[in-house]
Amino acid sequence: MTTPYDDLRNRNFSRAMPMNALFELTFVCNHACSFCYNCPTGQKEMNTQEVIDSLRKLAELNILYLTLSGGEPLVRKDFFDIAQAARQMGFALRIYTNGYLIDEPMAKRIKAIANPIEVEMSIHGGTAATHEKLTCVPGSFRKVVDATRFLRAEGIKVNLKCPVTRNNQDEVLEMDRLAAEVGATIIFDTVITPRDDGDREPVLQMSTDEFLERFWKDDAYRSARREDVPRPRIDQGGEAICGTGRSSLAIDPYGNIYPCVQLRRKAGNIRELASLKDMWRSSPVLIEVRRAAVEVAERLKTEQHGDQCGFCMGVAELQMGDLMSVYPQVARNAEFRAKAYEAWKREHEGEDPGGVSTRCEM
Amino acid sequence: MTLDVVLKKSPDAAYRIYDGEATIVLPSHASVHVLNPIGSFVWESLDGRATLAQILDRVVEEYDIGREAAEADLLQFVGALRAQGMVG
Repeated sequence: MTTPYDDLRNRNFSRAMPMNALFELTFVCNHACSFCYNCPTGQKEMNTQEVIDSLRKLAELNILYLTLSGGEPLVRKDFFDIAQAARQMGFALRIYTNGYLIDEPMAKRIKAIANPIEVEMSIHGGTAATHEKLTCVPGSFRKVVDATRFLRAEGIKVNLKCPVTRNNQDEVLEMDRLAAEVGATIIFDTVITPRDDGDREPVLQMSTDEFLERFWKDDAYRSARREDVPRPRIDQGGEAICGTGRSSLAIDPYGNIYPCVQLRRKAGNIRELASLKDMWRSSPVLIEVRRAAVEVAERLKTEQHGDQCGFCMGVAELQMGDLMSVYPQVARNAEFRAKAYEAWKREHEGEDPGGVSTRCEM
Repeated sequence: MTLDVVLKKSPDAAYRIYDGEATIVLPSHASVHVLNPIGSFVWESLDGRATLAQILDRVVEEYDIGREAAEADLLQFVGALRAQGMVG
């Protein structure tokens, strides 16, 4: 059964009417994470007025959900001017931050001015030693935990994200417990992506086979993976695999427009466009990725364990040079998901856990 | 509630209109509401200036609906919006 909101989103998705934008306000960051995907070019980042002008164009495109990201967005001294302008333009805000600057007064200010539907922060371990080995900033683990508590005290939803690597895989259960303790949700991503410049070093840190088998199969990880069993993707009959350039777009700190934060094919520059509407309909880049997203969904049906692939065209292009090629780490993850699914079916003869929509719209 | 009341959208509410349907997000309630076209018409009219009586006039003028039924629906609808913190 679908809700009126589900119906509306599906309609907008199928007609490529965008609802989501991710805005990287800056590439400046107060962390030095070894795995960071950002690749600053040294160009001049947009000033306050240019950002606000850009928000106006996104509002004209009828974007509802706006994610303020970075770098670290809170290092911008005009962050709250931007957030306030965005709220006045009717956006529902999400904030992606490392949480380092969020003390109690800052959490109150975020609530009062930005009033986000969600704040998302990365966590890289269940202990300070593991987390800080990656962020390279002493005290950053405590800051994430405290920031979560301060934001929750203001009634703000907090979602923690953890890219699982061989460095932190043994602390997944600890992180899951910690998230529950501080009132946050947590998502573990078992597929690691390369940097935006194609550097594959982060991919080499992907978790071990032994961990992937445990994670997708063992009951102990049920809460962490947020599902009883890794269910296959529903065949949605010719629908695009994701919302890249369809339901969402991304803007970098220089004003460049991309179909998605992960798919860095430049479609234009928001500073140079009077309106986004024409570009949204006529951009060859956007037309191409929308078409590819439909084709990929079909192609995955012929791949081994294709229905268990959380496929990302951006990663495919970056790593394989082809939007539609299955990359090794997603294939490996899918293999372990499929094994766990088959084992579950053997143990639950006659039962059907159903399928899942894995549509990514950010 | 009476028709001389003036209401406006809560500053907490983020919204857009898609195909004549208002999609309203309330961060404080972690909820999303989609209004039908008449509800969306009313929603857009809740600007802190128009009375409910003036909005009722516009509804009756715009849609094929009797005044009495429209008034009852309008009062019930804005009452529900107010109860959910969407207008004040």
